[in-house]
Amino acid sequence: MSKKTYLQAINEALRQEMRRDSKVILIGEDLVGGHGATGEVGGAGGPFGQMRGLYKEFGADRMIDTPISESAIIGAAAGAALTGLRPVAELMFVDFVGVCFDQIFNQVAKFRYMFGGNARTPLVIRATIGAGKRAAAQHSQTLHPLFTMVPGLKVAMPSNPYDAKGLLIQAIRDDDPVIYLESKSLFGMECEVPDEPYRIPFGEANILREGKDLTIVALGAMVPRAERAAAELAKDGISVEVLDPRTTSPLDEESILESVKKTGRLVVVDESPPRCSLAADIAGMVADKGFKFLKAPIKQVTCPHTPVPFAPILEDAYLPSPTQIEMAARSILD
Amino acid sequence: MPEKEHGVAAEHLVATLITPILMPKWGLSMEEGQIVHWWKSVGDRFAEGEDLVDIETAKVNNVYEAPLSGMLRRIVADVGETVSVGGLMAVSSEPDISDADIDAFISAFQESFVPKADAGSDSLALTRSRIHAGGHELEVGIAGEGDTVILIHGFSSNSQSWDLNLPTLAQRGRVITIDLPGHGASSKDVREGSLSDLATAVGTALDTLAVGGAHLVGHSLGGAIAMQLTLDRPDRFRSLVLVAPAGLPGGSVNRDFLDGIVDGQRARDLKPWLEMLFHNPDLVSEELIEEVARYKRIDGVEESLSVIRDHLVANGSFGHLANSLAALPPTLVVLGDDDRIVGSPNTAGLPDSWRVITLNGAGHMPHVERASEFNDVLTSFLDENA
Repeated sequence: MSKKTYLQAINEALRQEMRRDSKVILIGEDLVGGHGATGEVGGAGGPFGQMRGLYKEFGADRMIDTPISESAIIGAAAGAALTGLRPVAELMFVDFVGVCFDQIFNQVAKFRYMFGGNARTPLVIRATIGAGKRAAAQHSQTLHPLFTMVPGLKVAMPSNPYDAKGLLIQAIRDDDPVIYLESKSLFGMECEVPDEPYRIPFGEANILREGKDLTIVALGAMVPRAERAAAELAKDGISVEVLDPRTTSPLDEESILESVKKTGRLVVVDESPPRCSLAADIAGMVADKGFKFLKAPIKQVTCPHTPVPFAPILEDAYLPSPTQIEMAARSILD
Repeated sequence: MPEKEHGVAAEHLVATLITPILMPKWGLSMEEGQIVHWWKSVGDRFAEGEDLVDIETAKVNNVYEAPLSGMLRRIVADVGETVSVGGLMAVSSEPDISDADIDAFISAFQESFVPKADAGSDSLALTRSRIHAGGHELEVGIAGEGDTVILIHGFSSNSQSWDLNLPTLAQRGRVITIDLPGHGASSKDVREGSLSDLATAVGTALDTLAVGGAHLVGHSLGGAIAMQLTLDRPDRFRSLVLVAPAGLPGGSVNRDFLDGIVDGQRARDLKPWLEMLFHNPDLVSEELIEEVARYKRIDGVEESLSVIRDHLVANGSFGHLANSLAALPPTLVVLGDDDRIVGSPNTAGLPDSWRVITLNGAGHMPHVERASEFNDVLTSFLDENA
């Protein structure tokens, strides 16, 4: 066991699964070297470095650098998954998903259902999400709600390095298509990560902090911010439970409802615009199934309904801050 | 040359006008901190004692107050970045110092900065090593010197279960912890996984360490292993301490508990079974549950626990132990009065020379739940048999 960054955790998960199972292949843009390099020397391993060093070990047969065509990447990966491989495809930025909606929503998500359960689609689609990195509106979105609402897809969004490794290994071993969303702003985050391979089952929420006065449910990069808000509230004697669902599909409704039953108050934090967000989804679920537990209205903290701004000051203001989360919590406490 | 000397002098002068803002050290065990929020932006003035930056560490989150008054010229560590204790977070200076001088200051600092390898720890530092033992890789921890005590943990546990006993034991002599095959930081494939196989693995590790004349302490499954190992190597151990052991006549093994731990997939499924270990279930924290869940998620662990479980519940797995108790060295048995895992062994049937102590208000973990009483009982027994 040693400390690893979120980025190293992703790299280690890919490496260990590729060693374990020769059917695991990677396909995407610039996985190897990028910028026209053959990749054999000094391969960057992707624009963020998640694949660093993998080409040297696994070679071109198992790491396919593609032209800039996301529809081709996902189409090829879908076919490979149907015919026996376990491809991990990369979209680099989730914002590029638009050109492969048909492959993902109409094909990949439907195979198992439309072939009467006889087809398996062990496909992982990795993509980065999130604002805060000065990457502008077309490289900064947090589109997990799009995937979450399509039956047939599983959606994981790790909020720390431990979860990043365990959820990615689970995603690769899963026989259904999994959308695995990496929060760009967490790449440098560090924590203890076991050296051995391990799996975190999908649909198991993580309770990061136990509390009795109020529940904060947060996802991805919003989790550290929620913890920060909880620490602030604790200074005033307010006991906050922080819960990270880890996967939005399946969603651990049971753990969320159990927490709300205990605390009676809920703030949901989501790094996506408010309409049809996971905040709205979870708030709706709790209003439907746990209304009797609530002592106060549910509060949603999200980004505003605008594209992600490029001006740094505006971009920082756009993201839900610990202070905003804290204010939302205070507004429903007596 | 004069020109260069002048340059060095000027650099030195400039450096005295630039103040580094460094990662503080809060508490003995803090090695690094993560920047959570900067309360000031580059160009802002701040007064001594004003909130400057929020820092998150493994144990605490706190606001760092400005150690002096100044102007924030450069933020070196952005939000989300982790900085070692003593590392550079930001730079303060008056506005008349040029950006180039600030750059030079930062690069000189970063070039010369070496984080302290281990900034110390609250808990006892064990020297760790890995030992090959019959196809297993066993994690061994050693602390202290002198009369040696070997600690063997129980089913689905690990050496950290002795954390409340280690400091006392390391003070009186040498203490050696071993993670059993399939457990803790040892390799996770237990292979055959029978009592004698596990005992052989531990014995091989002790051979490698050339340990002789030691005291052997085993908890639960570790107690049965300790008995087996002592029977296998009767001249090796000075005394034997069995803590809520499996394998004593009249005792039992709680099958539901073993199944609950082996089959529980989610942290929440494990909770009721972990609570069963203690007289006071409130001792089971979310951290403990998460620790066990994390262990169980590792490749191979569930299979290995399942193999060991099957051996434990098989009929007659401990029969040979019960028949050989008289052959064991001086033995102390420590039980909890509310043990729901191994029940209440028939202490009347134990050899007369054995000492049996039952700690009140303790479940299956008397060395944890009644740590200080346990430590007293243990050390006086060890000292008598040293």
